[in-house]
Amino acid sequence: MKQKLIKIIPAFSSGIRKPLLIIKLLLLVFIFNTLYVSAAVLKDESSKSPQQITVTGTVKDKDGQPMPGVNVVVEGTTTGVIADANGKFSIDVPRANAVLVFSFVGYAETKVGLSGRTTIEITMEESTESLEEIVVVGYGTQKKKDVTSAIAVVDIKQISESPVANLTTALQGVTPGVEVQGNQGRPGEMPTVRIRGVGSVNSTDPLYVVDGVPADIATINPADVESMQVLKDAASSAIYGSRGANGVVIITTKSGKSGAPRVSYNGYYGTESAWKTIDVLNMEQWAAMVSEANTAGGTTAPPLATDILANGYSGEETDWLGALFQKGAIYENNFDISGGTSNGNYFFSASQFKQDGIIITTPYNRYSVRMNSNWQADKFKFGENITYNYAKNRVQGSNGGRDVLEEGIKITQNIPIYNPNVLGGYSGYDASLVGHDASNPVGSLERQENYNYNKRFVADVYGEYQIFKDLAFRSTFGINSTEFQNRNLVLKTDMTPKNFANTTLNESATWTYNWIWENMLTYRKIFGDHDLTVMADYTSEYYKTHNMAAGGTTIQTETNDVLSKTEGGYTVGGYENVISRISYLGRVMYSYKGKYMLTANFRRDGSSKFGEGNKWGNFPSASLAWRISDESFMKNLNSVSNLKLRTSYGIVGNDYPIGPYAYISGLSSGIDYTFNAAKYSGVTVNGFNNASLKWETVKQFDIGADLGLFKGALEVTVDYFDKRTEDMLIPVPLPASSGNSGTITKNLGSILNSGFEFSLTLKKTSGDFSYSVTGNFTTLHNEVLDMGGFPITSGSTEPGSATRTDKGYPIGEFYGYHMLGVFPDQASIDAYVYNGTKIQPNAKPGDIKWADLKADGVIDQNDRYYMGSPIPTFTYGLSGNVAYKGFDLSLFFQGVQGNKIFAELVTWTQGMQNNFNAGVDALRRWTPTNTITDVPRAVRNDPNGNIMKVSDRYIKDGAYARLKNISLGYTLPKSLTEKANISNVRVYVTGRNLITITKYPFFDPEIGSNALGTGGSVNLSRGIDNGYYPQARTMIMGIQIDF
Amino acid sequence: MKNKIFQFLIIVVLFFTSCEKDFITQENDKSRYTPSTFYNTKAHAQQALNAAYAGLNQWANGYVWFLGLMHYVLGDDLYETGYAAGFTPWGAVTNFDLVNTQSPISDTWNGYYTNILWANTALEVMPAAQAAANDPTFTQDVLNNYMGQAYFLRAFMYYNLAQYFGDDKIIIRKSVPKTEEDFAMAPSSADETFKFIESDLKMAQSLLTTGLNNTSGYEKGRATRGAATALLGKFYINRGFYTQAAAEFKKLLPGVADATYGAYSLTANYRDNFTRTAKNNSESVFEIQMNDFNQQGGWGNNDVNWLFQNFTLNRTSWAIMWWNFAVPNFKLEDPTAPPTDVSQFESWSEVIGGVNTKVYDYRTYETFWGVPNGANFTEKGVVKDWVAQGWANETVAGKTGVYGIRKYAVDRDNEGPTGLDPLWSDNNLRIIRLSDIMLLYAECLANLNPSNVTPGDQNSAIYWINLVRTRANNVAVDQAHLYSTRAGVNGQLPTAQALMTAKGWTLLQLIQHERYAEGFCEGWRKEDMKRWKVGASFVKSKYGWKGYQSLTLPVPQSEIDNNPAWPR
Repeated sequence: MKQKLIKIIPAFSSGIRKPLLIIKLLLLVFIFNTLYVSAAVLKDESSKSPQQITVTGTVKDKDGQPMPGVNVVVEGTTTGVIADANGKFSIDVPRANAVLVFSFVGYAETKVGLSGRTTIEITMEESTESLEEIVVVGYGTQKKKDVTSAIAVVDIKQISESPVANLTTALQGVTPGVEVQGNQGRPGEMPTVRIRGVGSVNSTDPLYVVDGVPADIATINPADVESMQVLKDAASSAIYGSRGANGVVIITTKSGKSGAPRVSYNGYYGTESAWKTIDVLNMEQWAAMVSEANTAGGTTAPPLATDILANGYSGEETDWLGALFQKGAIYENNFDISGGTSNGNYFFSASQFKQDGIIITTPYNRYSVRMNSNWQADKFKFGENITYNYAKNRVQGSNGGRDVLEEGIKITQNIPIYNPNVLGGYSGYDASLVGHDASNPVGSLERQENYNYNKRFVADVYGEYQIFKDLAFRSTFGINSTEFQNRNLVLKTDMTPKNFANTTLNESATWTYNWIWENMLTYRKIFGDHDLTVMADYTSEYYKTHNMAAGGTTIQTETNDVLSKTEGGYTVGGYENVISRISYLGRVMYSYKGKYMLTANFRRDGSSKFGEGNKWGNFPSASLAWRISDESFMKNLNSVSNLKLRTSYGIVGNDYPIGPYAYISGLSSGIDYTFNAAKYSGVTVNGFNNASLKWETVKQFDIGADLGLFKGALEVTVDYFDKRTEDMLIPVPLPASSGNSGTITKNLGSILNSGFEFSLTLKKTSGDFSYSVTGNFTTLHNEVLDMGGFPITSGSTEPGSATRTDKGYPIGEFYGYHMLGVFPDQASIDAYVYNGTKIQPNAKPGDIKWADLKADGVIDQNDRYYMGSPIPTFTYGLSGNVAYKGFDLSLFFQGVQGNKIFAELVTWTQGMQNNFNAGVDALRRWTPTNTITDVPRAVRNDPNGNIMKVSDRYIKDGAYARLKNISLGYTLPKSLTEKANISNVRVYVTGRNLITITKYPFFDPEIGSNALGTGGSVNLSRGIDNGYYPQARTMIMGIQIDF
Repeated sequence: MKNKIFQFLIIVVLFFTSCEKDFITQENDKSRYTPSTFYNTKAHAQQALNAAYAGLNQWANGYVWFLGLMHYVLGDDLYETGYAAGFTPWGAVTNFDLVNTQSPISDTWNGYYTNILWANTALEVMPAAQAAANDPTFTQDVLNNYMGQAYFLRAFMYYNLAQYFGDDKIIIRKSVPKTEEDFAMAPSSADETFKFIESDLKMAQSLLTTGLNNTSGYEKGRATRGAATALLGKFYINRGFYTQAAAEFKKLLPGVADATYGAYSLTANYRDNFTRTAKNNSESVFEIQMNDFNQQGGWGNNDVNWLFQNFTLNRTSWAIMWWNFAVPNFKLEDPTAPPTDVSQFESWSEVIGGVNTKVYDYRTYETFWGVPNGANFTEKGVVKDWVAQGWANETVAGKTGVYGIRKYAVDRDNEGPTGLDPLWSDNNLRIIRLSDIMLLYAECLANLNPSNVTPGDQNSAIYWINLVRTRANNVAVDQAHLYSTRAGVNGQLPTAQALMTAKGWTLLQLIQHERYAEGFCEGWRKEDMKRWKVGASFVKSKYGWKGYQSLTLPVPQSEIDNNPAWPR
């Protein structure tokens, strides 16, 4: 076997040429911005009002160190500045007795009355309570203590301390009610995120909103993220109307802080490898099994097997899985510059990420640059946010319909990987010798250069004007332009008999062009004990997708791999579609004495996805909260720093399952006829779309409580939710007399998701020592309440459809036959009777004994049952952090319980019907001398359906507990670093997936769905393991430097 | 300043409110054609019409597969071999073991209704397209002709549906369903169905001006006035309206025809009705057009004549005949048959080359593979003689003497342009041909004037039967050995009246015999058996046979389940 070398690729390798151009461009913009700052500063100086008093001061932390970036605001006004790098600020106040409000994330808000002073020095106290945190609630912000709905704030600090490959991974296990399924471990593949269960048989991806603009987060650089919030209940997500039903993830990116430019670098390097593999039979074991199978099946064993049985095997044995798996490099370089003045800030970052993957030919590269700035001039605020991301990944190819890991198990070891004497250099196989058709997976992968390129440009600008003291108007215009390209080059290869007979090249590109314009009025008034905020917004949005595709075959030389050099087999394709939306939305937030709080949202959405009469939908919600801890009767309980009860109800829509034009019936072309021996083209109505399609509706009730004890050292949040999806889209069969015997999609179904969410945080600091523990768990009950009488069968596997979704069961529950065991002998077959008649008269010893669940004496499809659900009933996460002096250690466990996996892999490891190789499980098979076993006999063509019946033979316990992350860091002493003019240096090592506790016997229990993408089939094919790209075990070392 | 901002805001909101309806109306799906915008030229009207025809040669809903199989299989022409894997429900259908969950039954129902949808689409959009086109070449006459064709096609589908499922089980759909309410519809009464199909056929008859299928300048394969007339006649005779049927048939017959309905004539040779080189000939009233199999061949493809590989037994030494799920339900010599059995091909002994030899009605050789001294298949230059291979005496599914259907098949594997599999061919299916009409006319006369047996009288059934029998005696050099056996010998079928006398048959029995011999495995039997109400003596080997009602298919369960308006 050829040794795989890990290339230690220098950072910023040659692949960055294109992004460098972009960086140059952005640098220009950056310089322009810096000039603008100077201009703004000058303007500010000149516009100073003569009556005002200038107050200067310094902000320090408890250690007496100056604190940059602290917000200083004159109470009751919008006048504010940000403390500079030395903690100094200068602010103009209207009156000598004005009050200044100092705030900073993680610190208690401090109010200082000036009482005529013009110079002050204040010390900020760290807040152990998170109540003062500002939570982004969608179209606004709120203090955490005022939040009335179920919003989870994701601790983003973790991302910078132990980086993740993509942002959704950072959501896994950290907050209750949010389930993240590692959907294939393939580099660049996004995990599937489900918020509060699976609410539909259709698409249920949450809405991602980045800096106020709905966006895809696939290529976002996690290091750019400042904060991430999950809107879980309908009360919070209803403000996103027709797209909020699956929950909303709100992401705010980093922006600069006041002060001199600050430069930081964060980089790491590591390796990834598979943590588990599958042992396969060697050639002699294979020969024995195959001979046995052929004898049992009345067929002839392949000559190689017969030969090995007679003479033994002394040839080479290829470790196929070993050749497919590799130790892959993973590294990232992240670099940012930020800063600001008293009236503006800027932020600039560039990052490069590369991951080789743990299977050969699956690399992923990502480059991203981002810049933003925010400025204030009198009552006018404005800013922009510009991002460019570029991602490239290689798609795993296969040959002949089998996945490469499947081929890796099924192919026999006598076949070498390479054959230098044939075109392409990879070995084929001799079917007449080995009797099977598993082909060389290494050749299949390496000779198919299939790349995806994902390019994304996002830019938005905003302007905000304070019309009156209490009324502000903000307008945001954003553009999101993406280009998704695929380039699939299959090189002519001789791997007889499975050749790539011709070089083929297919290229496609899909562009999306999306703009959104939001206009928002916000009114806030505090009068006496009343605090009222009213928001009204008008948004319009336009989304266009355009695609083109072309392909050709036969290229004379491998290096001329462009379409113009193809010589035939041309294909072209292309499409375009448009979605447009208009929304009116509003919110009222009212609080009385900070104890009684009410929030009401309303959104009215109009969408081009729907036909007349259904274009508009209304999405209201309301939530109430009562801060009991502020009541006088609680004042004596000093240990209780916060106790709040919340409840909410809302109606939200899910428009994801509905594509553009779905309500319009189209025409089919190519329905041709022949006259006079010539073809005449025809176009006609050939199927119907439902003109009255509308949103799926989610109605959700939530009740929860937040409890803070011992000044926030212990925080507990509990929620119960009841989330009902109505009008779920279901394919309903048409009467064939309509002219179409297919289905029409109707709003008919209903699904319930309910459960408890619980989270607990414990924090403690004493001297140099601090620790925190956070745990959370979620229970989930998922049940289909109504399918309109039309259950859906889905989940394609080798034996057949593995899942069924019907009333009374969870979505996508596994459905099949029940295996009672393996018949040890003929007597047991003869004894298996119903009313004196043998139930399985054709079975042979070693075949599976199927349960006659219907009790009618025959084994048929009526004997199938619901075998278990892939949806965990219980998920949890637990993290712990300890810091002592410069050291910090964090551990993060995550796990699921109560779910089942349909291990389609068993059809490979215990197949034994097609002369393929098998896993070592096959050694446990029934033989006349090994009669008591759970693995049936080896037999060609599977007469008893041992393999080809969907059965609970394939059902495995999917529970696991996993040490997702362990990270140890050390921050160099300031005394040391300051000499080098560096403010902070932290070095760290992180290990991911180091420990996994599971009973699942194959590559990895953390699987998502065998259907990729965002369609409903993801939910209906969940938990089917057909040889997933396993999650990697990763070790990295990194460094963070702040200059 | 504040006022200006307010003004601006008001303008913004008003601006958008005024055009928001347009803004969220994005109906222009560039990747699809939509009915409301597509059909506005003559070419597009033609495309709607072409698609209405397309149902005839589609795989899923046409005669390439499901509808064709049912057309040929339902009856007693064929029996199941039990050999074709995965063909269980079709085997059951050949045996009249009919259950309304069987896929052949739902495929038949679904297929015809799809074709009805396509015909309705054409009927709906063509007048609108003419109005929108403003095209001087798209005259009212042109439109009338198009509409006539579409009416014919809709009637053809309904004719068959009613024939298979019964007049009282038919859902009359006169337009393309548009809303939820349109999908579910209850079946009409038998009377309504009758009037509806009759009206469509008369409409087609009046709108179509071209008579012959092979009129120059009118693409071969299009519906004609003759086709509409023939179908109307068949429609009447199947319901016992002999006078009306006779009036329609008469319009088509040589010597008595009305010229505007087409001057049809029998082809010189019987065989011309089955070869790919003599498609759309003077005898052909309506044919389903198949395409060049070199371009189209392949499992599941449209436009290819796939059917006849199904009806010939597969043998390893003749592997080219690879499907084989049904073979002719036929015996050359059946000693158990009563003397009055009309379902036998005629045969007699002649001395040929000094040897007493059994000779058959010529049509036997054209209809079957496997007759002694019969037609041979030439595979890659090697002649395969069925009898010499010993297959004729094999027992298959309990029957001895195994034949194959030669009609429509080609005789050698290089007859096609590139010598590919001869059983995927571009040979057309002759759905209605003149000898069928002649014999049906004879049947009308036999019912209307049973006593008239004057051979030379055009008002006697005998006259028309003799025309068909005389043509059967015409011999073309097809496979030389078939006819060499006849050189210098009598070799002629007796006249109709001689046969009647010899067998002691009634006029109707004579007609039953003649239709059996003339139209074996052309899909005539299912209608004939139903009309004649013949019972088990014709279908003795069919285990599901329960009498002539077995020729009516049950309405598929899927329709009953999915159509809320279905009475239950």
